[in-house]
Amino acid sequence: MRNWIDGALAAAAAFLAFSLLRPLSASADLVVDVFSVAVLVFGTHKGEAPGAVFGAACGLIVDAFSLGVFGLAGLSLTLGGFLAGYVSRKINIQPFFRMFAFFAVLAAGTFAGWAGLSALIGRSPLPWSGGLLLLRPAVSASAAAMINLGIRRWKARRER
Amino acid sequence: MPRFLKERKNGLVLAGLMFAQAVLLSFQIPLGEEASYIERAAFAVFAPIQHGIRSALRGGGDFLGRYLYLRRVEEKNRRYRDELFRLRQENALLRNSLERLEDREAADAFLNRLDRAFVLADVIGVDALQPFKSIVINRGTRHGVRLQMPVVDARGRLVGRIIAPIDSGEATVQLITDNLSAVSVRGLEHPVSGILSGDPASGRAWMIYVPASDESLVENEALATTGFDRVFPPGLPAGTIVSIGTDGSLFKKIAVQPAFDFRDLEIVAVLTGPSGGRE
Repeated sequence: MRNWIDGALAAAAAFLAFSLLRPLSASADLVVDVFSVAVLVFGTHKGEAPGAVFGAACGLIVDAFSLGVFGLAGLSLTLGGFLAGYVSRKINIQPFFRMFAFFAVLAAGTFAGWAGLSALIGRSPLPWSGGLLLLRPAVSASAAAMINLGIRRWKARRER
Repeated sequence: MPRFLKERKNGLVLAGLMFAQAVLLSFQIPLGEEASYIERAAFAVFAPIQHGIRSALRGGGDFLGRYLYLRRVEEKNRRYRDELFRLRQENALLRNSLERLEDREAADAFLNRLDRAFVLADVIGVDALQPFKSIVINRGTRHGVRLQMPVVDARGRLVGRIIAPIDSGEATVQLITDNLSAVSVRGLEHPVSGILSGDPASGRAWMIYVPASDESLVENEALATTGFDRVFPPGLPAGTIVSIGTDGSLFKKIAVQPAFDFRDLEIVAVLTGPSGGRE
């Protein structure tokens, strides 16, 4: 039950951030994938199965606001959430730079999965915008690492 | 739960989710561009939430933003006063031109029709994955918005058309920078027609089906809609030719910068009257 409530809150936060990004900057949509950030952080904290379910739910939201084949983002985010939960339990991601590298690899993988599926099934060109889109995994990983660090510190303070 | 299932719970959850989405994808593909029931349902659930978030933020207000906004108001007012003056002059000139062309009654009827022919809408969201493909606006069927209605920006420049999914309070706009968009356009200086199709990768568009033998179109020439497609009314500014090339085929390769500015897309107008849409 706790996982469902946390998931709903995380999805609401991601959705709020997604709605606020556009008024801040038109390019922000391209460089930060807030749903990917949310899925990676959630998966890391909650484990592979909740991560996969949360990824699927976020994918549904992303696809609802995107033209083209419905379910493309869902597949890559489901896999991203699962891997975030699975790999984070197999390796130590406590050091910040290792955590950043972990998120960078997963964000790049999620991005590559979406781009590959878009090319294969959606047959739609990606919005490269002069290479701006390539910043997405790095920026998303930075955001995920910062949020993860914040959550970890908050939890540590609460336990003290 | 059997031990076998308990041990493989995570893997089974993943497999189940992936399978469900693969089935979902397989249902989608034959539909092409038509929105599925699931997509429509998801849009119907989340679009009002996004609408609510934007409305709450707008309603609640941001004091710092308002303070900064007020500081800019004076300068804006001066600019708007100048623009209003210019528009009044333009309006007077247009009325004069119309009166020359038609009798007074017909001109008045035409102008009155134009006044009622649009619905203003705020942009409440963009395509989450491909920003240059579509946007979501806070007006829907309840406000008279229907499928295929043209959408223009605050300066009357062509932005796109209404497509599915559409809801009572929200609607999706396919931008002219979407690769599946097709608008009949022609040069303002040289009346050569072609089809304007978007390029979501760059946020620009291509003017296609202009014969390679045609030499009349030039770079920096403005393009406007022709109305031949029976979706967009004629005369809407659509873009400017950036470059003209050939690729050995029968047609020219003409790159077009859309007339509307994506970064400035906060308010749009849906042309609902007889001059817009098919209804």
